[in-house]
Amino acid sequence: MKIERRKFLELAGIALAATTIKGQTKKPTARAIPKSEYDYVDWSWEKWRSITRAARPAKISTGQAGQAELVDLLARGKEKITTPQAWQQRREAIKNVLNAFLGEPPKLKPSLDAKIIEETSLKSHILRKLVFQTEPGEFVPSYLLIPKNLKARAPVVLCPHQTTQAGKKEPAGLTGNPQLQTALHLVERGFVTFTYDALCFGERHDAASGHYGDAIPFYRKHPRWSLMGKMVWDLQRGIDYLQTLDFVDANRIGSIGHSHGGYTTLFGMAFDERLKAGVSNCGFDTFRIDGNTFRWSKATALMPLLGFYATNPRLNMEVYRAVPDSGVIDVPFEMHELLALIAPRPLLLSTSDEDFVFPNGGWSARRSLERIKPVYELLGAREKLSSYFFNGGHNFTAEASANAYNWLERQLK
Amino acid sequence: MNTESRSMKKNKSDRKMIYRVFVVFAFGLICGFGVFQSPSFAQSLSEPFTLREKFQHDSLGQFASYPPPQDYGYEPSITPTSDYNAPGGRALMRVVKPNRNDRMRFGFIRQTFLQMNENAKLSFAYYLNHARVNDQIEIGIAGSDDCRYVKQIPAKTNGWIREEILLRDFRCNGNKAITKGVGIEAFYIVADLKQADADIVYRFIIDDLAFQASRPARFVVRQPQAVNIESQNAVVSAKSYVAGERVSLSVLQPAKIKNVTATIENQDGKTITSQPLFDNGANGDEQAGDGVWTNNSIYTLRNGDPTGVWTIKLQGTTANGESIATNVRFIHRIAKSLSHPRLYFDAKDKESLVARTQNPKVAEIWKKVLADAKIRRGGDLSHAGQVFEMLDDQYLLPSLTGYFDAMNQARLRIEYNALVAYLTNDREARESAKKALLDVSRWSRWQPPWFDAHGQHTYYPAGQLAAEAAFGYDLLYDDLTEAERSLVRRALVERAIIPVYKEYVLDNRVMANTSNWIGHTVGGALIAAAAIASDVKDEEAGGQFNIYLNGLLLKMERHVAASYLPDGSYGEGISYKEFDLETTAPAFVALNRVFGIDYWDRTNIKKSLLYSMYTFAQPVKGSLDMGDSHPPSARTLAPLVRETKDPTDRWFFEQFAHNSIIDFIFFDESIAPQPPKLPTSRIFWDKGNAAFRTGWDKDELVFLFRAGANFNHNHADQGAFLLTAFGEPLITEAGWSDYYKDPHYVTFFTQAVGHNTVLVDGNPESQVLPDTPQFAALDSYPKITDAVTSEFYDGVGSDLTSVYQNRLRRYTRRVVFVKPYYFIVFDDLTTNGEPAGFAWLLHLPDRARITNAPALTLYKGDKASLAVRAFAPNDAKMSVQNGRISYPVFSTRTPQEVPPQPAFLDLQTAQKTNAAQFLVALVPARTDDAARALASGMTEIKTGDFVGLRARRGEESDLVMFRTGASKDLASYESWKTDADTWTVTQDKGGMKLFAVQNARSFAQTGRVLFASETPASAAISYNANSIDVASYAATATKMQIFVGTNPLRVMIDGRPVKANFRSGDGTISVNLPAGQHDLKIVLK
Repeated sequence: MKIERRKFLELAGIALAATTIKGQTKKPTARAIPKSEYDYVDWSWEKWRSITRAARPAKISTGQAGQAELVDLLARGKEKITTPQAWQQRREAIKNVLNAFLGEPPKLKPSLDAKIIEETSLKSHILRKLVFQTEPGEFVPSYLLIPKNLKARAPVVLCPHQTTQAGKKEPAGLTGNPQLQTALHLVERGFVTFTYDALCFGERHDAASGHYGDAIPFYRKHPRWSLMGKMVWDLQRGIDYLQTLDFVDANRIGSIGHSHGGYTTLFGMAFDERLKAGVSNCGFDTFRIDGNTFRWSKATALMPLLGFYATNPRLNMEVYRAVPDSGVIDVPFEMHELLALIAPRPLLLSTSDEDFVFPNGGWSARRSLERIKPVYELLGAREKLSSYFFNGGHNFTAEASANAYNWLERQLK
Repeated sequence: MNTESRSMKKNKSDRKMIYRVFVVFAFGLICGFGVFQSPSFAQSLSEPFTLREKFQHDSLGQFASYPPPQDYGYEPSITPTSDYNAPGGRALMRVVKPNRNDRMRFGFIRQTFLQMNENAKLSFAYYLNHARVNDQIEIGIAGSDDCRYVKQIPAKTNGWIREEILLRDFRCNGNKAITKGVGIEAFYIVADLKQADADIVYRFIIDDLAFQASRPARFVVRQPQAVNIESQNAVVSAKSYVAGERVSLSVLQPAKIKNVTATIENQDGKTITSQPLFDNGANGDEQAGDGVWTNNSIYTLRNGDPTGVWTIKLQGTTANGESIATNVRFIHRIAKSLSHPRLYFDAKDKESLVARTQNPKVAEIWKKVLADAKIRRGGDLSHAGQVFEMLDDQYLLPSLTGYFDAMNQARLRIEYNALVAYLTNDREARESAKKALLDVSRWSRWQPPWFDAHGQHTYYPAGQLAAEAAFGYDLLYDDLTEAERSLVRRALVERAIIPVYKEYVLDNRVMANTSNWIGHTVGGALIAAAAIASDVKDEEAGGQFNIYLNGLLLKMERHVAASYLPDGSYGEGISYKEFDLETTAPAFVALNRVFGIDYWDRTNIKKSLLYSMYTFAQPVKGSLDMGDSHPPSARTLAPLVRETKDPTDRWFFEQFAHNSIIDFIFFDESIAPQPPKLPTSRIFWDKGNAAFRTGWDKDELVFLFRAGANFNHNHADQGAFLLTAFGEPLITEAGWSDYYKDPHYVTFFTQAVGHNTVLVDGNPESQVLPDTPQFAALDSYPKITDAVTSEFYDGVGSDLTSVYQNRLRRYTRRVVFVKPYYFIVFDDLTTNGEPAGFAWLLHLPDRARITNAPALTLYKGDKASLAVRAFAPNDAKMSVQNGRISYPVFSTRTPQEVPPQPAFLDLQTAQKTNAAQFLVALVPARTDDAARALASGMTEIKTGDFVGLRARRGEESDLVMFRTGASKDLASYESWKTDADTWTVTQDKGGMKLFAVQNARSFAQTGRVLFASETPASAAISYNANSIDVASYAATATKMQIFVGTNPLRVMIDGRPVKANFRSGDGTISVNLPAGQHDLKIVLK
């Protein structure tokens, strides 16, 4: 008997999923507009495979494949990495493996061709809506929030949004959860802030499409790339744009995000060193401790190659947060290695111990921090690595956000 | 003072025998199940027997990990495997990855009930993926003569290796061969890797095992129907009896016999009747001379007979005079018809329970029960069983949070709402409890598939759920249709009783019987059995109900005997004791009420709060305990405290807030609390702890020391000690952390480096976990060798050598507490071969509070301080190292509230040496000035025979001296002459105030005998104006001579007057002292 998904979700302990969803699910009619982000209609890993004809990656590994525990980042065989130079070699090796999963980005960047759509003067800031070109002919709708009365070049913080069809509107303070209006909160603290719609969200989402359904045309266009890689690319294009602004200090660029915005920040920092400081809130987990790779490959379209490591036949949309998969042990890298790529730049990992979206997030974060701490120490930047743990569901609580904003101020102001 | 504990012996053979009596035979003797044979099988008829194991089934073949794992419950390193070309397709594997390059021993152990014979041999196949040239496979036998017989063979790694070894080639202590008739209590197969590689995952697999030996011949019991449970060496009856029923017996002889007698004993071992059986065609015997012996009227149970687990002891004799013995357990249960509710109260108690809800003392608890019941009603649980089916069978931990949440929601919803419905008739509560009860009854499984894939059949939360589902069935019985009742009964049988019986009884899981998992699984299954007894239909339990019940009782008896120790402690930590009691105590209540099986007074469970009391400190978080343990909460103690009716237990219970449903159900106000009037210090000989206190008030000093066997959830912490003083933890350890999540759990928290131990060559894992006390022959564990406790002086000596894996030839640690002023720790170490560097560790709670100066280290707490002064070795260097913040509070940097950084003092020898002594003074005081002043006034003394110090305290001065080396010759220092291992003298203005000796036969000053003993003994003697107080300990009975100066008015031992001979020539008295610890009061005026 198949479990009714929403009934399952109501099993808080088992599904560890949203508790706000009540009642029965109606099967979507053709191209019905989804009622929530949990109604995955169009994304299908199998469809991605048929489009891309992708195969399981060749035997590449950071040394993590086959290891149940998060590997020691400074161990190199039986030797120990003891110099920053030696770490750089290891770092490049990790990047190469991660790049294999992020895929191949376009060779050339088009001009930004930024256009301001509208500008609104609000109490504390100017809200500027604009678009910039990320790929030829593809423009990213964005909001730039500029504090009033700027007297000098200001630090800027990118605020990628969480998994919400409100997209950029939520960080900008125009809608959504007040706790997650990060761009608004930070502009009120004197930062220039910037937020934009990621592909599949906000204005870059086909309203008739299901969640992540927009990824299908993306993969038709870029069969060797990944959506996560695309999100890094778009974030980098956003930085390109910010660097053109004469009221922004290009040496003081940070990023902050919750959940989807959190891991967007982490990937962005790992692959773009122009980001000088970053905060990820409820946006981190490790494959092995999470238990499977389903969320990255089949529940979302972010890194479909990881789907080759989802081997438990029982995994499905309903249970992936609860049901682990021993195939995860073969994943060639781990997320703590992603964090290590950020070193020695300042990083704050903010984690809820009651996160129903990442039920083992606290566990993953603590064990990962223990692994990356020696890397920061090796690079003489121990004080740049920070963490914050709290109890508060999959949220950015007032205490957690205050901590994060204060931390950003210390790093960028 | 508990005289039973005082009489515990210390020397090896006596200690072994004591342990055997209490742990192995305790229930057999007390409860009457006596299925164990005597250690020697001489005179008994045996028969050839081959134990075979091919692992072609769904269990672990009764094997466990050996040497003992850190946790017998969750032990993923032992697992069946169908990979690696195992013969027959399935074998048993240990899979272990060492933390560091070091020696590693890992393998398997199995309990047996075999005997040595001339042709005894062991054959098996093994696969080991990596080994080096000198690595070995070690096979060991635990002989019933207390000898460990060992055979080593070279380890090979070229595929599957078959070995066949004759038992006559095994040797004990290098030369003694095993002789015919010696019992084989267990055997182990261990891979001994001299230098395991931390980069290798080691796999050691065994299969096709055949152990050819003998076993005692046994009658086949035909009537009543009975089952021989080989793994437990027990025969259990499929029939239980009530008063008025007649016990008839029919048994088949295993060999031609002359006669056979059946003796029935009740649960206390009292003989009820002894009757012959016949093979004469009469007395119910169908055919004369056919070897079937019968008596159709052994005994008719009477109304006045005590109920419980009874035993039929069959004793036959062959023509050659050999004996054949078989014991059959059966349950003599309460005759009354059973109604519902029955488990913890019955219908006539309802009125008083309803009244209890209005009792001001319980009103708040009841209010919370009502609130919790309401909170727990939300959410649909019907599909959880299906989700459990989906969980990965190889990847357990990521899903545990969700699994536990579902299990806990279910059991607590049933428990709270069933009680509320019963007492208030609340419709919502009733519907919620009933729906949850029926939901869980429909779940297809109560344990994640990982357990099935690992040769197990249940998991402890399933036992907890069984207990609450049984409670729900009991209370909601009238609200259920018969079909619904049957559904619940089947679930209890199929999800709890049968899987627990298979795993814990037939497969003898947690062979050492020391895990709280048994309390939950077996306890939960027993509560379930009590709930459905007499309701259950034959088809619902396959007609095996009484066999399941009897087998489960047997495992519970062994668990309680192995875990709740005669000294008033529990093997695991305090929090596990309390966790165990969560199900074990209600199970005891239910078994007594439903079947009339009373374990309360036939076990040590009622005195199990003693250890908790001795380690209790205020605030509670400063309470001391070791291993994976939290401070006590007393949250599960209500049933126990209600049962003991002990005012001191009640006092302890009331030191904690109570607000749970357990506290409501088992509420008792019949006993007024009374603070302890116990002796302030106590040795827990069975657990291996010494607890030294200065009193029972809030600001007392509480000190805990460990040297003992492994039980479960123990750490590599032998010789470690802890101190809380004046309400402040001063000496700590790494302590508990999350064993699944903490990245340093296996490399720091459980290892020697995380405790106040000595490391050898800087190895943080210098100690290994020792043996459990299960088998007397496998006794490689540290021991408290001697001790004396009193109100004015405490001292303990220990031998810790065994946990250092042959790296040390000798390691004794001795601790003296000059009450209430200071502690002296003395270590005497000798290497086994190569010289070694030694590091003496002392863990402190907060690095920021440590001041480390060359001569003295000071820890300054809020309410108390500690001065640490190291006297020896003279060239040792003290440094401060960071400890680990445990997982629950760990954060790399949390700006708002940075947790204290734990630290440890690291006192290292300057260079490698073959022998080293550490002498360290630990001075706690309310202020740092006071601690510093006392420590600074100490001076070191070193002679060829002794290391010690002199301390000046105002007008008093102490001499605390320790013997170096193993010599027991008399030696002198100044005017003192003694053979003691430790001796202490306190003088007041030059006059003797007190002295103490440990492990001594003689102590004299300028030729005057102050103390003498026929056998080595320990004593602390305090001279007062009108009397002399003596605390003594001797492993064996002795005559003790004590200087008193004048003929005393009277002498009392433990409060009883005794005759003492005064010798005017030397001013001494002589008294005869029994073995154990005793207090003497010598009244002079």
